[in-house]
Amino acid sequence: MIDPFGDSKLLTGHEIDDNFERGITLQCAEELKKQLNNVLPDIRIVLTRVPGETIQPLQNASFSNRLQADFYLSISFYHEQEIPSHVSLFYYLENTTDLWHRHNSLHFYRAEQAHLINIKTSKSIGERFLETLSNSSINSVFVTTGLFGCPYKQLIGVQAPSIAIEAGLQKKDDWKYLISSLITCIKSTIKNDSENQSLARG
Amino acid sequence: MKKMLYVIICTLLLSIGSIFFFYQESWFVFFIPQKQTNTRSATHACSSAKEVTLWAWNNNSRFLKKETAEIIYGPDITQNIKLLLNSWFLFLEEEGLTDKQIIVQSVALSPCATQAFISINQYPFDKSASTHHKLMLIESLLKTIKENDIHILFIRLLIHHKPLIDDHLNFDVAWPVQGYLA
Repeated sequence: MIDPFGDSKLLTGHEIDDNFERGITLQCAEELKKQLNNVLPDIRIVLTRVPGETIQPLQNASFSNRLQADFYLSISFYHEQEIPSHVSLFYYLENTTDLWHRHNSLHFYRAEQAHLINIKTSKSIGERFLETLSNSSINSVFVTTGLFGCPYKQLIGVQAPSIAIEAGLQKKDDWKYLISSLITCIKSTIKNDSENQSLARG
Repeated sequence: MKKMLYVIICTLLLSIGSIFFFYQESWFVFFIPQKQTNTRSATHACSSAKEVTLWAWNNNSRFLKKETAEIIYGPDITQNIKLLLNSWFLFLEEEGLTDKQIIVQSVALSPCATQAFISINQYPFDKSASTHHKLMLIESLLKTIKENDIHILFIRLLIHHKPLIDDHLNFDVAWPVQGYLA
């Protein structure tokens, strides 16, 4: 599931090159979906919103949880004047002790604790994304600032392994440089996941 | 006679209603003065100047900046936090890391004194700031609290005593003083 930041009403986001973030993230998400469908035709990719849609709090999380998404990616951008542009990765963490959590399927989890279910997977996917994005042969445009666990609002209540990516754009179309790197990241995540599954099956 | 009674009752109810309405809209504020002269003088007697370390995230050079300042430390933790953070915000302003004049209005502690509710006068971040920048700014605030003998575990940031609302970071939860980068 791909979550482009923003909605049609209140969440306009940052201003980038006389455009609102919400429009740019949607363009990026649509292009990412299109290219991923070409590269990975067996995978169903869902966007959390369509143009003109208003999003209520926790609506995307509820959508993702009901669809039982395997992976949730939130995309956001901000305006960066200087070169090189930076890219940061986030996963949801409310407290540093969250990483000690052991999932018990019989537990009731509050919406704010939903991230605990797959927190270790989220972190490892984030580390893989960071490793891929730090590779200059894959991503030569954006400099990575790191992977951060923090209370990142767009990931509240999402059960699936989830990460958020935030990139600095000089011009409104600079997101295009990020697409191929993101596809490589997602492909390597899927490859790793299928390897782990086949290992588990023995 | 009955008409007169109705008029009196209506006027009375209207007045009571107006008072409640004005109170709810904060047009009236009731303040009960307390005798604090003795406490203040006792607090003043225990206060002393202390050198504190202030940390700030510099987005351009991408590292944490450090500076020392002297503030008056007393036995009241809330007052210490208020003074410390006011000098931290001043440090940010002097270094050109913010162009806002942010002031800590008040600080309150939770009943078990592990959580501090810090109310500031305005949204502390630049509107165009990245989440990374905002996170690092809060991290430097947490580091400043942690490294200056303020014995609390969590903070909650408020603006004018109401929750701080940010598009990217969730301030509805308590932020650990330990920070997320430790």
